[in-house]
Amino acid sequence: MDGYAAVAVAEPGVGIVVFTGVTLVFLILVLIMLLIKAQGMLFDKIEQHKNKMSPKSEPTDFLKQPQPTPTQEQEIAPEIVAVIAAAVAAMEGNYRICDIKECKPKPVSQPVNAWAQAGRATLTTPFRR
Amino acid sequence: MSAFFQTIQGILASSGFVKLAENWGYLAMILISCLLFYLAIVKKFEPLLLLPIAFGMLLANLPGSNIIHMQYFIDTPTGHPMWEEILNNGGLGDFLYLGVKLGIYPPLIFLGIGTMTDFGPLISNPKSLLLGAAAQLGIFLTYAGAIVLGFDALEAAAIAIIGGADGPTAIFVTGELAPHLLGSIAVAAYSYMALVPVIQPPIMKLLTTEKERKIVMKQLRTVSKTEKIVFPILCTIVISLILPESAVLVGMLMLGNLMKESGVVERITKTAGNELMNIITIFLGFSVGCTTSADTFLTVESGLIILLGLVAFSIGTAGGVLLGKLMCWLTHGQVNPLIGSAGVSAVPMAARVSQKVGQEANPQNFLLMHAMGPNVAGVIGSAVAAGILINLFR
Repeated sequence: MDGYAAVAVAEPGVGIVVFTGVTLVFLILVLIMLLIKAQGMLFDKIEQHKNKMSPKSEPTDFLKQPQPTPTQEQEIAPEIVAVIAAAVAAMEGNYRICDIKECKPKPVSQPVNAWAQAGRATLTTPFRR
Repeated sequence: MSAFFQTIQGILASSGFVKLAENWGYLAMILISCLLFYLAIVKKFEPLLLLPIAFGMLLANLPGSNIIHMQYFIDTPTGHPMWEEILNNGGLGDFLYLGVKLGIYPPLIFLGIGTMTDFGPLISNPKSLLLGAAAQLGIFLTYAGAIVLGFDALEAAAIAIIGGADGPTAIFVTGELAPHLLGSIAVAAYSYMALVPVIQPPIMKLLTTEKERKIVMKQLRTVSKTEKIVFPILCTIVISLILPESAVLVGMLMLGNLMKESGVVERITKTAGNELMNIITIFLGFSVGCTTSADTFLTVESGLIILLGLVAFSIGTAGGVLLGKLMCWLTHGQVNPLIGSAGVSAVPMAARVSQKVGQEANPQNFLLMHAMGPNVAGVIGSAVAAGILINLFR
């Protein structure tokens, strides 16, 4: 029996391939899962630590920072105002003239909910097939 | 005048029509390519790849076109590509095929996929990785099935990877282990990926109860940018150290993702996800299509490969759903088993199927983000499975 034949005999059996394959895939992905969990815990702790530290320094930082003037914060480009005016006019109908008295940006306090976004996307995406 | 007729006769004798009449297999392949055109253009089944594959198939089966010389790549005396012949006599098809043969295109496609993948749902729910692992069951059980049907170990491994539902991975493994089956396996893999919305729902409904399908899962936690940046680096190090064969696939996927998440290389991120990926998609699809000649494609083996591909997909889906059921039971109904089916890669189609089947049972249920976790875990899982098969058989 030559060397090549010996290699051919050493080829793993079907059972070994199936068992080894499934086990290894699970082991590697479980290892990654544990690492992600450890990473998540670590970052949570760092975040908690930051939160503990921040209340003391925040008021002084806030006071030190120059406050934006109302004109800086509330200024909207004239083009945007024109678009909003046109949209309002279109909604009201041609026969009625609208007088827009105030137009100021409203700060978003929280990011848009992911589930709300998913819901909107599902409802607004055109039917594909 | 006779000289004119002799010339015309000579041209006709060397034309493709004569060879077409000699071998009806070419005609059959042209008809198959037309079927693929129909599926790609009218039915929109993975058109980005199926269209160039079909055109490559058409060109390769027009007798005399000599678009590719597979004899320079397969069953060569040295076991390696015949470089001298390729350089002297090769053409477009031969040079484009080198990207498949040398395993260049699939990792570059993975780079592009990485720039479009959000690992956030996976990081916020790491248990999703288990579902991604369970869905790889189809790969290894199909390997056993292929051996039973008479394929050798290398061919069986290449066929089995169809179960990963990941086209670039299937092409990568087949190019390494059984390049003569590349055409059949690529066509089967991409056809089944397009058929995920047809294949998966019956299996999902069969294995779950109405009550399980109605389960509403808790909202995922927010993942910080730092976690998203650390994840691809961590994943590359761990997987590449354990399975160096997966390093190129996983590495490029994670490079693309790191480019996206870091936000510091916006220009090259856009290039990798758009222009580069589009170019590689054309090269990959066309060169794979060119490998499907009548002699290698119109065989009983091709029919068996198509059948085994379906089996692999079905087992993968069932594996994910069954582990989902187990997780549902262990967590007292906090996990909807439908997200398990998304563990076969096919991003994002498989996740959309989970969402759709879930909403059929409970219109207020949004499973999409939960299913994206197992879905991207499936991409990692199939790359790991590919590394294992290459490690065992190369």
